[in-house]
Amino acid sequence: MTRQALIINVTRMGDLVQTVPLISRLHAEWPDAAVDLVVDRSFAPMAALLPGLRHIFSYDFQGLIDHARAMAKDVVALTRELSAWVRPLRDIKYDRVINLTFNKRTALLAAYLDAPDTRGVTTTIDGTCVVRNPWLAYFADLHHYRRFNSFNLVDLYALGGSGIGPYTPLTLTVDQEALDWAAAFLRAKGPAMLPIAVQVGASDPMKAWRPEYVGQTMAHISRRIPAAFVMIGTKGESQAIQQVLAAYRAAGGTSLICDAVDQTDLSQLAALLSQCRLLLSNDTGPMHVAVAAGPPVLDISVGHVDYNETGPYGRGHWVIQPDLACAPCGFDQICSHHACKDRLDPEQIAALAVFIVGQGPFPARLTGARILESGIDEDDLACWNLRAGQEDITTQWYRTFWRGFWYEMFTGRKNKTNGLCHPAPDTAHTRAVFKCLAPQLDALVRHADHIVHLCTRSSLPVDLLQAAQAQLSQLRQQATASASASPAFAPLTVSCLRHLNNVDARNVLLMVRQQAQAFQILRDRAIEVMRRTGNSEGELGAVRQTSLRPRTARKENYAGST
Amino acid sequence: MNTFEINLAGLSMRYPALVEDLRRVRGGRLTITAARTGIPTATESGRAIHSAYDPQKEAMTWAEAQTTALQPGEVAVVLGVGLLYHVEALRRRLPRENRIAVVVADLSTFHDALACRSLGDWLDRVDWVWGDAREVATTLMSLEHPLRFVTYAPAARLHAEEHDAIKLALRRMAAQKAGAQLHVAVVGPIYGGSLPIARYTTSALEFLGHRVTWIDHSHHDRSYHSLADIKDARQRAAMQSRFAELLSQLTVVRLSEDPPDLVLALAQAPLTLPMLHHVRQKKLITAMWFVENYRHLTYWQQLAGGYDYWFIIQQGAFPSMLKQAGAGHVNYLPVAADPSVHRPLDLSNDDRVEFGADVSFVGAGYANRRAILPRLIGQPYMFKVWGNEWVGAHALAGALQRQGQRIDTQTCIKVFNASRINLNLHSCIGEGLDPDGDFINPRAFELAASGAFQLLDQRSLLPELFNEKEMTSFHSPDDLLGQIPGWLHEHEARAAMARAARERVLREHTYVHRMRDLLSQVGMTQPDRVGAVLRGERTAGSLVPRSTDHPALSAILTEFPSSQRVELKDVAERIRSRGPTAELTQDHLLLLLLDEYRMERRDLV
Repeated sequence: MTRQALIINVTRMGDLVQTVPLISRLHAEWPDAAVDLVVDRSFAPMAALLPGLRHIFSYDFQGLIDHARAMAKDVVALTRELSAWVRPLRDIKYDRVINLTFNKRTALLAAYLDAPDTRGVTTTIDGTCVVRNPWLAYFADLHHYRRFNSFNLVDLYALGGSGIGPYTPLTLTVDQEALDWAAAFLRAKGPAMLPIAVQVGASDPMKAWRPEYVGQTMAHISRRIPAAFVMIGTKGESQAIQQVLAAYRAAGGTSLICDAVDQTDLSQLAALLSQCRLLLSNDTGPMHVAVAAGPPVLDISVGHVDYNETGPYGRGHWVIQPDLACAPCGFDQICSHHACKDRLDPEQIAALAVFIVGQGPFPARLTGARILESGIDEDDLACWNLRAGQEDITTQWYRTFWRGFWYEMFTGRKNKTNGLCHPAPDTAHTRAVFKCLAPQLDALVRHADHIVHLCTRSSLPVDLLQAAQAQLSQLRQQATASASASPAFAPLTVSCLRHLNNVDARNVLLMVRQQAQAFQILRDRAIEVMRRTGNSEGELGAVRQTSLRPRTARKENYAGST
Repeated sequence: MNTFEINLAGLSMRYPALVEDLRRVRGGRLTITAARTGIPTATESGRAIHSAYDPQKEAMTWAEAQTTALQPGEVAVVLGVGLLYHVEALRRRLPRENRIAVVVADLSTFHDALACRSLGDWLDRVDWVWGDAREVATTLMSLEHPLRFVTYAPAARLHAEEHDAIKLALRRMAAQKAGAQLHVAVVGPIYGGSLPIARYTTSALEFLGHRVTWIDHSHHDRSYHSLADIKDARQRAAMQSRFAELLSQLTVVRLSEDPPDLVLALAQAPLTLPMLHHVRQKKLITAMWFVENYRHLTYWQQLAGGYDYWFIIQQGAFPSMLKQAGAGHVNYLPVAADPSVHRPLDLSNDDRVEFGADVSFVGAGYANRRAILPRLIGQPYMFKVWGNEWVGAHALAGALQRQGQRIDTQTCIKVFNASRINLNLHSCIGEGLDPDGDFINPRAFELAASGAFQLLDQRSLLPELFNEKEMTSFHSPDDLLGQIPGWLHEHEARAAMARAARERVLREHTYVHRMRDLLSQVGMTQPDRVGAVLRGERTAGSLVPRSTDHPALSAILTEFPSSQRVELKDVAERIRSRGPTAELTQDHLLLLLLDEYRMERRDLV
């Protein structure tokens, strides 16, 4: 029987391209799989380029917002219209629904579809949001400790939506007509030169490098190599592109400018990018299209963009990131200075671009930034290799540590990358934190078990239970405060909180059991962290006397996860 | 049997009275010729009613364009008869559930159509509505379905006045029947004459039982005026413009917090054109009550295309100018009075002494008033002037009260009540009476509602608002001077006229009347939205029968009182109120899903 999976990925061009390895992995997991996609109508043309899909279900979600919010239609009409679209989806009876759009709306959609295996955000029977699957729960929470994250979104999608598997590059289905159009477009612009595509805009102004710097970078490149700049983008980005070109000319740029702004459909864009030697870009949808189309990408990672999460996927791409304490900034932060954008030197970026297209040496001088090259590691996951500049040693150590830790926890497999040759740079501090944390965790576990015990009584002692739950809450706050003081434990508390939020039980006993399980996992993980950070058995002894045996290197079960 | 008789036979079963009427009239208003395709076409006074080449093809194109706006269950009310090609095409194109009612404003034209075309069986699948405006409106109302007007302009232009009268009658009837559960956001100005009107409008809407969010920008008055201190004119203009933009964004933020059924902006409301376009794109319905003289304040030219509806206090050339500038719906809506504010007062003796006079004038010192009012100085009666902006009007120094300070509304009403004659002189730039004097200012209604007698400068729109027993006017300064002594001695006549004027205001010219009119106008052109609410079609009782294919929704709807308006928000709240341990069905989840989309705000702000 054909297994059927539905991916919900409603918005964002880049996110859709980044779904390709998941689709591929689903086909590998179930060779007869039929994979469908739910997408906003405006992104349907992008979805049409993704290989391996059976059906694309698009809906005018923006129209729904407009009509519902302005009460342009009454509740009966709205219900009828959405039902007419969504009921046939439910009738397909998917084996698995993977919701990659993390909001309450899609959570309710995923819950409505009622698949036996739902991953990502969905809701419990009372409509409360929960996240199913440890990888996707990790994704939901990574903004809390993003400086220690090294998993690319593409891998999280594939691992969460399916499981482990071989590296699959991003690809798009581009037709021959589009390829011919792109070749003709470039031919018409003049004699053979080095076409370098430039993407100036971004969905969020925070993550767009300043247009004048882009123009200056292009001018530096034009002085070094016979490039032709292929300007891509939408009509809405025209103003920024004009600023780029003005800066380019002011800085003495003389190379040919090929204006492809608002002249391509998505297939033609992919085809055009495939015939370029490089894309110079902010972290945007077209960047991911370029990754799928073929040329190397030079990603200018500014604002709240973190290359570890959304940087170009696969081998041979490059990122330049400002070396600034606040970079990247938080997701919801509103920055008043955008100082990170002034940190990057157009001349140095130009030198890197020239190197990438094989026309010059690796830039010898680098200030205020770091350069990283993308790769694929021994576990077939995306990774970054620092090629120039510096990173904070503690951040770097813990990023590697948590990469291995979560991989082993979630897959039950041994991490093949051996990145940690040295003990943690803050071992003494970790020990001190653990000394305080260990008894708190023990108390937490004991107390949670006590609550389970209370709930097994034939008549529920409500007052006792409320008091015990209040005390548990206090203990949890104490433990969380202690753990937050160290990068060795802070991510564990975030994960524990998610575990608690994901509790989905239909009676009190099940709920408190899941609660107790969450605290047990927290304690086990803390012990495991101590072991992995190079602490001796003797140092753990005090805790082990009262603790349950830690469960290491086993695939963990979240409440309701698969 | 000739074509006419065959067609009458087709009508006789359902419309015997119409057939009788048609037999009594003569045709001949239209000139019938053959189109290139050989079928009849028509002209009237040399102007084409249908295509001279292919009337059927033209009609199909027209019908196609109309059908996009029509919602299921709506009645298409066709204005314009001609040779009925367009009606036939519309009937063929529309599903049966959409009834078509053709307004026959003139039986003679209809006679022509029936005489020259064999119309076939579709004739019987159309409702024919004829008679005077009130009869037509009554028939249309009796159809008990949302009405949507579709106009075949080449034929409709022959009867534009009749159609306007029908719409007006329909509006009045709809207003009388209207339910009161709309949510209206009233956007007021920062300052100025439209600010009190915004307040009265808000009160009137609330009086009618609607929920009102007043977005009051008068709090920003001091900040805005402080910008006037900026010395550099360009900088000052730039700052004022930015300030207005900020307030425009603030308005949208407020709207996003609780999106209304209608955004009603008063003149000078700080809403910029890009913001209006944005709000309209997001499906909010916007209306502007432009209580200004369009000749003096011309910003309507820039904003015309920004609002869905314009309500204006002038007629004549203005409506077509506004439409030419991009406005969609333009309607005449004069200002009014608020009888809870503007009312007869029992004044104390002290008040009578302070505020009383033989002749009083309340208002600001515009040029024409500075030129005319000094002629009342030195006359054998007591003359007082109240109000501000009289600096330099030395001739009026003896009459000017409170050193020319602005007086509040309550003081104004005391003056109105205490004066034997209140002079109402509309402002204008010149030195005489306004040569283009058309609209009636709020003061006229306020004086009348206060039971005060007034002498008003001549206005062309006065007769349709007040008759000569209710209000009297003067046509020149000399005429004014000539009338005053007579009126001062005619106490009974003054009192009778003031009484009649007040009765007229209470009967027809309060802000409650205006808001009823405004809402029914919007409702008529938005039959599935504002119109549906006004007709009570969004109440639980109306929604339940339509929701039978969604039992979960139907069950929730029955929990509400039958007459209560229920929207998605209310249904979702009812589901959420079941608490964290509730077991929701898939259909409940679907309703919550819809509501999550409703709550999205980021794209609006």
